[in-house]
Amino acid sequence: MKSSWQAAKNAINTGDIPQYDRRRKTSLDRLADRYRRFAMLAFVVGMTSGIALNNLAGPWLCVSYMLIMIGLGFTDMAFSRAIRAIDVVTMSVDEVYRCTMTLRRRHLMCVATAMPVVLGWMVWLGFTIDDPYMTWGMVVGAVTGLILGVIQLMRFMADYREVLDE
Amino acid sequence: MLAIPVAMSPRLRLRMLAARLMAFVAGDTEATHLAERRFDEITATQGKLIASICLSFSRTREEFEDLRQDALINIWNGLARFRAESAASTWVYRVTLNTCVSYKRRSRVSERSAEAFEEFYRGLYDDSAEEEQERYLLMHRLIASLRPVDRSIMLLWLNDRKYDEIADIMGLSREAVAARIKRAKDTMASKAAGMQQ
Repeated sequence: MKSSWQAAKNAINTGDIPQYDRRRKTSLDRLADRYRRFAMLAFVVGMTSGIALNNLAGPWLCVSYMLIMIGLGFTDMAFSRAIRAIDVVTMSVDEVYRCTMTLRRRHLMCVATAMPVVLGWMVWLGFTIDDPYMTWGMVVGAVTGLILGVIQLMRFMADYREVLDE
Repeated sequence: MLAIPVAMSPRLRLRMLAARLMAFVAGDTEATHLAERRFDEITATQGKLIASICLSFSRTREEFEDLRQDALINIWNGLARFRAESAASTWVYRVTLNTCVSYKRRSRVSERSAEAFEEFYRGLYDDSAEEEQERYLLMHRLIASLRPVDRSIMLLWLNDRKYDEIADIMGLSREAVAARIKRAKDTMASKAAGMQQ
């Protein structure tokens, strides 16, 4: 087996090392940046539209909305920091792998926890707002979201299965 | 900047300082030159190793190119922290394997992508005979079927690393490494038998 591997490694012809941009970000960097962007978005949207919601739906919905968005924002910030703490240069392979898998599991758990909370809040909003246009808007949004959500759910389950397999 | 040797005439020291100042003003320090030379050395001597490891963790051509780029970026970024306490090859193994096991795959692989990757893989061995290509492809499939940690250990073992070195890179005990190698070999043997049937 070793001799086959050595032969394969020596026979490989990958051409010249491709030109690369040293400022290019690795997949881990991109993932950390993505979490940070979502965190910022959650904070900004939570504060601005939360205040607007107060006029529309009352203080309880407003406060609960802001709390949910701030909670999601802090969760994403925590993920971003945890990813940045993974040091591929000095950590052992097992450690990097365990950190990566732990973060992936936690991400899936957060999604599984947040989805019912958000859906429940939307149902509460639907019952509170006494405006037919708003209600129809939410119904259309819900149907669109359901279609997109099924695709996302399938991806989520595929990710979850992959994580379980590994 | 590197320290200037002590045993040197004042005139020579002044000249060296001036040269470094000019290079610094030009935006190109000696340290960067040294790092670039070191990086070029590593890619020249370890380029095939990096490619073969990244290939073992790829399912599509895009993933392979992405992984290789990421590994090179991580090696470049980590050069400043490489203290030569271990051999350069050991360090390259660690960084490349860490890049591969932490890589976030973008999407599921379609059958067409899998076929395209097989074709791409054969293209990497276009100088080899068809029988050898089949053998390499079988080896690649067997290694790719292992879990990431077992795959990493097998890649190190196949590259003639000693158990102690594998244990150090992986962060496992020597006994755990030996057990995993045995288990991986058994898995690969049974899968090879299944494929040939």
